[in-house]
Amino acid sequence: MKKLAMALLISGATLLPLTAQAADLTIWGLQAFNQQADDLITEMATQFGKARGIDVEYVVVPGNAMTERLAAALQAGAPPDVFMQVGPQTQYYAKLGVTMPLDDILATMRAVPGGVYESTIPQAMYEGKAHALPLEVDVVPMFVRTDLLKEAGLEVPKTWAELRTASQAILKANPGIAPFAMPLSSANDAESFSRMIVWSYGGAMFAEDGDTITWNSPETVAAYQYIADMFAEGTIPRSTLTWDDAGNNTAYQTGRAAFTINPPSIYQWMTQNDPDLLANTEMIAIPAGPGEKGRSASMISSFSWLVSKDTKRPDDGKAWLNHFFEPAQYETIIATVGGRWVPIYPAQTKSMPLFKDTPAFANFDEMARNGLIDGYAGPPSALAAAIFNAKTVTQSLQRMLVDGESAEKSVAWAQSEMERLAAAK
Amino acid sequence: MVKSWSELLVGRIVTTIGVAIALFWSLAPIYWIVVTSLKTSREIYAIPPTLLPARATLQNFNTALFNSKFPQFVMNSATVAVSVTLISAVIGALAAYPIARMQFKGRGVTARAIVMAYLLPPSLLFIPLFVVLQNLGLINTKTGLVLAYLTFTVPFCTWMLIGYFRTIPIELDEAAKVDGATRLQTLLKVVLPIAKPGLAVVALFAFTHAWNEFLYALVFVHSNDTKTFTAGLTGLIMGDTFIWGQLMASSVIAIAPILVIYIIAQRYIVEGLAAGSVKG
Repeated sequence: MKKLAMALLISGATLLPLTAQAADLTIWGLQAFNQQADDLITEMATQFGKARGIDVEYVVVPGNAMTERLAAALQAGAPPDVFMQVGPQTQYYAKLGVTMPLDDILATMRAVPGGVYESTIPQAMYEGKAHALPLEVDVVPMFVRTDLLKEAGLEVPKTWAELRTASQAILKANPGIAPFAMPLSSANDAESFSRMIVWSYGGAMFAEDGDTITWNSPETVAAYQYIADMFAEGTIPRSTLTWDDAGNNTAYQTGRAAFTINPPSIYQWMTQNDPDLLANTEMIAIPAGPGEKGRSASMISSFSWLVSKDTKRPDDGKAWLNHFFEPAQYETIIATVGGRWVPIYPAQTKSMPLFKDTPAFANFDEMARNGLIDGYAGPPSALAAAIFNAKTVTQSLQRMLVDGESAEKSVAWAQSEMERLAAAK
Repeated sequence: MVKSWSELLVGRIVTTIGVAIALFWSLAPIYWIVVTSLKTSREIYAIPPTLLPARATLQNFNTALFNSKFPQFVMNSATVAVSVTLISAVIGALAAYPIARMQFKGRGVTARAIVMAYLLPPSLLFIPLFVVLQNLGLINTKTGLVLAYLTFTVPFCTWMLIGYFRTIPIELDEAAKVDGATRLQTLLKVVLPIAKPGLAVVALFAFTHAWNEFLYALVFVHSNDTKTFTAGLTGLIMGDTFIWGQLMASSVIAIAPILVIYIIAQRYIVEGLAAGSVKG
């Protein structure tokens, strides 16, 4: 027993190095949706360090852990030199004063032939300066089961009205199918996708000044009513109220849904696991809403690079970003990610075989170009991010769907909540 | 009162049903983890779900063991858990003995403070602890993680051992004292050998806590050299995409050590918990 305890003690002491060897440059990157891409960027960072004669550590951080890690690191005064975060969070970090402007690198990126998708840039801007660099575009198409539509003798819907008609026909022919897998819980997907329906109907959360809240409008009420009607008739299943972010993925991937809105992760899953489902799937632009203000409105976001204001190696940090965005090298990364990231350079969306030769990606360029960002019709703001985090929109939808409130009252409640948050800011 | 045959039968049936429900409740998730780890990704998403894999595959285990960093994460977990276990047991025993046996000013307050320290939620402590570890240069080290876990395991081990030591007759200490033993000798040669079941329980608790802990592992370490398996598993959740097959295979691999330890130490655990629960 004594010998065992001693052996364990010695092995424990040997295995535990006392302190960490700090790297010269620490970079925290979000997971790139596949291991190969993470490995590629890690290797790139290592080679970059060698070429520059410094020790570079690239840390892959899961998306659901980045915010907590950064909070702790910032609190301790030891943030990474360079870090990646989802685009809308840029406003938060810039407002905290922990990031540095990167306009010089943005200028270099814009100088690449074809420039960058300008639709992504507003979320990177804070007080007129670029505090982040979008490194891809997250587009959100609609997934459509063409075989079910064909059975019902219908075309791919182009409007929300057509989608409802198709959903009713599919439900009638296939009672086991949940026609429209629209998450209505308080998950992030639900918060994003419900905005997209409202925007399609012509509603907007903010006026162009970014200060006036305009959620309570006839267009928003009409969009709420549309959701309520589909929910009541069962073309949006009741279980959507409890889904997490993977709920609609699961519904579609198990063949239980005819339509869903989602980033291309479902596409990637189908290419690897279900070629039959893939063959019966089309990725289309978000359907258009009714009336003069009706449009096809998709939300875009982007993973973005930020540099800590207090980094001891600002030049190395910026050099890494220039290295990362060098077009030939960047194209390799995008190709390895395999479609989940649309390149920030429009020219590459048009030239890369992955996007040019894949019919499913045909709408991506248009979606990336015309996509709307959170805060629409105003610019991105800390208030827009706060409203998103408070899940005000989905809460108001749940008041309507669960508590039986009218669409008008639910929208009015959401408006008052948004104004309350604005006043608190 | 002698029970009738029918009463005994009813009692047995109720007991059997109760045990069956408890077993199902406990084992169903484990069963589902194991079965899912043996399915292909397509079958995992099949409707209706299959209770047994239609075509069992070891591909998920193959990927987890040979094409990922998971074995390294498990090794890191083992290193941290063993260190936490040893240190907690040693400090716990040294702290519990005087509180259980000696009379000194502030003894009651100390005992209560230990319980309070144990009751502090880890989610409140992670940022202050991060700051402390950062200042000590121990962020992203296994040593730092061990220190963080000790803030939780040492109070618990001490508290448990206080209760256990109180079940051991004080006459044994007095006899050792008469024979000329020092306090430390009494603890090492008289009390601890009798307290083996109690020590086994606290060691197992410390090991289980360090093995399963997630929040600190997620925040305090980040490189592959230091990451434990609980934090490593999050790498298999990519946004709204769950790599279920690998997640489950990795979970099966991670369950194995703790299961073996529990089976081996089962006798001590039952004894230790029972004794510790009588006097506290």
